[in-house]
Amino acid sequence: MHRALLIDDDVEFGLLVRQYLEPEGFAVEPVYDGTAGLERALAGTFDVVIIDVMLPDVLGFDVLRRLRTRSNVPVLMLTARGDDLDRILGLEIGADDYLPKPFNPRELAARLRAILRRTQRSPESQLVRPARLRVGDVELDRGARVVARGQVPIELTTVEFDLLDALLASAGHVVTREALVRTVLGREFSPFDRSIDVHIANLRRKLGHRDGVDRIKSIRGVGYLYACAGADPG
Amino acid sequence: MAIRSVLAKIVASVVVLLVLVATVSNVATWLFGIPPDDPRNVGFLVRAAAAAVVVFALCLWLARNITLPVRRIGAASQQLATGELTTRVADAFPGRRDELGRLGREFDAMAAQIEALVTSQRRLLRDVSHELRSPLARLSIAAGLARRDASPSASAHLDRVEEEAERLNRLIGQLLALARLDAVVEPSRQTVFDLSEVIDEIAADGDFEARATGRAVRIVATERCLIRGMPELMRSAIENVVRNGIRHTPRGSHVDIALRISSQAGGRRGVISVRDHGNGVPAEAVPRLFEPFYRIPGHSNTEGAGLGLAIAQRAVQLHRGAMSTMNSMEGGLEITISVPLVSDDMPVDTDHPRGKEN
Repeated sequence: MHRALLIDDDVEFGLLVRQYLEPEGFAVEPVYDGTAGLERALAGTFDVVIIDVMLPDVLGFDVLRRLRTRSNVPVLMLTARGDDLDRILGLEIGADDYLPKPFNPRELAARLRAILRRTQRSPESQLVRPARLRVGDVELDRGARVVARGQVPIELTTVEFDLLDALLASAGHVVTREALVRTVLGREFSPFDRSIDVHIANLRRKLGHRDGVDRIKSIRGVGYLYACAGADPG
Repeated sequence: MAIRSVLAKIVASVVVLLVLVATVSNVATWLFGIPPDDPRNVGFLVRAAAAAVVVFALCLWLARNITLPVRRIGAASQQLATGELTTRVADAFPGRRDELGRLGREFDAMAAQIEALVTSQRRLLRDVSHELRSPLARLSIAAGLARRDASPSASAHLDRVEEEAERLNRLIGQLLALARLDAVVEPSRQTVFDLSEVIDEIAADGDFEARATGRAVRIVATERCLIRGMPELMRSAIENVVRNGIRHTPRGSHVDIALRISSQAGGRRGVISVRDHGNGVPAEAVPRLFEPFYRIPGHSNTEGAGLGLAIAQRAVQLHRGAMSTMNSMEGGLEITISVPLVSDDMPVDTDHPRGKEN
């Protein structure tokens, strides 16, 4: 059973979600306000945390922001339908994914599974791939799931880590947005969904510039490329 | 002769008055029997001229006193009509107790009333949409639970329940989007960005979506256009228009997007035109396409909730832009969005590709 924390003030909604997700392999613990939710989330015993943006005491974003200062646990934001800004804001703060509420519960289960696939990759898949990737001064350790730039560790969320993994693995080549959505977000590409671009923007910010140039280049209308020009060997 | 300004009318009256005074001086000669070369008569002329100057100055003051408030109220009416509901005029002429002062205060009372009505109507819409979210969220999950235990025959009905729930979800989403655009502008998220980059991305996504049904989206013209605003809102506005085009262009045809700069009296503007190759719309529908829930008579196959273009228009207006629509000469519907560009002398930070970080 995967352990999921649901922070949402609607008690009945929480119970229904728990009932639905149980046969899907998730043990859901509902919490009904942000303060208590943050406390539980920081306890560190959950595989994934689901946060509604609209909470009675604090904004869901604030819960996420505070959580992110101390934990990289995967987070799925439940955003208000019709609010593009909320959605992007959530991803910018470091949510792994979002789902507009109300939603079809099948979609919820699918997104949670996609998030967990990222964090709990099967050991077999690790064997066939190199354990470490190094391009220029950036090094990614697949086993320990850590990234360092010139020996200095960089804090990445799971989705940012996988995004960097995918880009580094094809450094110098364009990776299409479709491919990134499929392999990193684990769902079918849907046009007009800018999630992947927001994650890229976050990753860029965290990686910083190299000689005044972005390490990740946008290829308009196609996708992204990790520039390996000037990379030192090793 | 039609004189269109009150000020001009009064000035004209004064000129007539001056002519009259000149005449009167002769009349005085005639009336009082004073000979034209009598020194007393010169004195009279001087006095008449001085009086005329005073009268002129007085009239000018009076005229401005009347025209300024009237102009001010006129401008305020226009602002009110374009949706600036907080427009008031009384501050411009405090303590005035005449008819114009009263008119100003009555205008303000009317504006306040309109503002209260519109605000409460919007709030109602937003609150209703919000309140519907929770039961709908629970309904969707309950339907999912029911499906698990359902017999095969019930399954078809549950498909329908889910489909309708999804339709309601989309409608609520659009209503909330519209309500939000009415309610907030977040200046903190304003940034300077290049419209052509947004267009590129939308065209790529639109083309991806269109190809699934044998249609295409292409850019026929583009150039660098820096505008100030919220990229996400502008993107969703243009996206709504492009997707509308994809829905209405026939299979095998394409939606054309053009982005051009146009120089007008009010400064340079970026003009985006999105054109499909469908049948266009009946002439009477053209001015009504941006109305919420407007349905073209005889067209029942609208997939959206009928709010996409209304949402787009609201977002464009937040960027001090305008949106219009017309049947293209070569067939199909053409929707045009125009927004003011950032002026060249304004300091801008555009190094960042998406302009997000400021």
